[in-house]
Amino acid sequence: MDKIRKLEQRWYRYKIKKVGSSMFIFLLFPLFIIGGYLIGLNLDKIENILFNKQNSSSLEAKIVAPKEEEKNITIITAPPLTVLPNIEHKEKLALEPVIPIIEMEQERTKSSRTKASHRKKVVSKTVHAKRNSYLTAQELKRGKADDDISSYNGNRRDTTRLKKIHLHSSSIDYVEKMKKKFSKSRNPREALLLAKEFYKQGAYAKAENWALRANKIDSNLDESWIIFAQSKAKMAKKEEALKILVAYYNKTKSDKVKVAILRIKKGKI
Amino acid sequence: MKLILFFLILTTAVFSSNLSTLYKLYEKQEYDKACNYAFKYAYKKKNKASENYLTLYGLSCLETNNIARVATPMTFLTKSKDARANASYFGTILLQKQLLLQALVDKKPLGELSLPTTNFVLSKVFTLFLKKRYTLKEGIYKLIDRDDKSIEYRLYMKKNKKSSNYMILDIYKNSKFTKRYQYR
Repeated sequence: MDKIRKLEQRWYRYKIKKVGSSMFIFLLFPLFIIGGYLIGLNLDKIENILFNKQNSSSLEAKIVAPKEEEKNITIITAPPLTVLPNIEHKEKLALEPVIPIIEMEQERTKSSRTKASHRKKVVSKTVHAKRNSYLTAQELKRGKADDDISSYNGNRRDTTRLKKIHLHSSSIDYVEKMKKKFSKSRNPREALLLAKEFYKQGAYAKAENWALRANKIDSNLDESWIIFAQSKAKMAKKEEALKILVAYYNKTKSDKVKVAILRIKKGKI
Repeated sequence: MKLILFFLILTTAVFSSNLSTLYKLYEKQEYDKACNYAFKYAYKKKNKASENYLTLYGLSCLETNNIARVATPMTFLTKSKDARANASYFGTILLQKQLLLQALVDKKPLGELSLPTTNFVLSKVFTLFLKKRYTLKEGIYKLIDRDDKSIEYRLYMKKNKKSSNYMILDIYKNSKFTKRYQYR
């Protein structure tokens, strides 16, 4: 009987081992898969931890090294090595404002358009006064005759439109001021404004020159490239202008530049 | 002659838009006028939508004592890349001003803060203050510009008649007083 029991126990152990090992292998396999996936997800963190540990261990070694030397040379003090890695991370961010460039002519036309439309609305809402019945037929006739004479002489005022008054008194001052400003600040914005002013005046060579200056300081200014190309186109260098603008467009993919290229191609400039 | 002049001024006023007027004022460096003008017409839908208007509004108010007004255009400047850059520029300066005020009034230690730097005066003062590059004498912090040694900033608190605190920033060039900023 004892032999049989012993045999049974052995058989049980054998069975447990067999099932256990197969179960262990069966569980280990998905564990490897999940573990690998998790490591893949947090690879950066693990790298950082490992890297920092290596760094700190190397730093410790560096700090320890002078301590050993201190026995012989007492004056040398260890530099604050522990601060160094922090400095690398603290990159100072410098902010600068982007001052907008405003087309004064466009603004003026826009505002006059909006004002004109507003005026029309106001006129339509107003109630017209009754005709003056106190004037005699003769007086009315005289009035009409006067009107006819004035219209004949060309003196009749057109009251339906507002007359545009162009003021150019400060343009010379403006150029001088901007030149002074530019010489002080070396800001590409001033150079661009000068280029625009010269372009408006029709001095295309000067406009090109100032646009080039703006480009040299800041090569990412769309408007300066456009003015540069436009003034070239005005000076009968259309192909050269297009080449420059296309090259710049390939670099930046700017919509403004695209419009300018099309305008030069169509000969609108 | 006077009549013609009056007529000319009137017509230019009629023709010019808010943005162009603001731009002219900014170009002339009449920052107080520009700030007040921008503040007055900021309610208009057209101006609210114009990033150029909002930028000039912020830039001109930055140069005045009404620096808190910068917060209004700052919140609307979100659409373009330049606008966002300007918004963070305004935000940084505003934060630096608030922190300086807290440090001066409440003696709050600023520790080892690392905020972005700008070229604006207040920002320069803030970085100098943070690095403790000042001499304190009778409640006045004297700081010397890093780039131009002839420029000295004096930062201190002052109380007005209503006993409200003002942060004063005086700028001296070659020990001659040049400008004062007064912040609440």
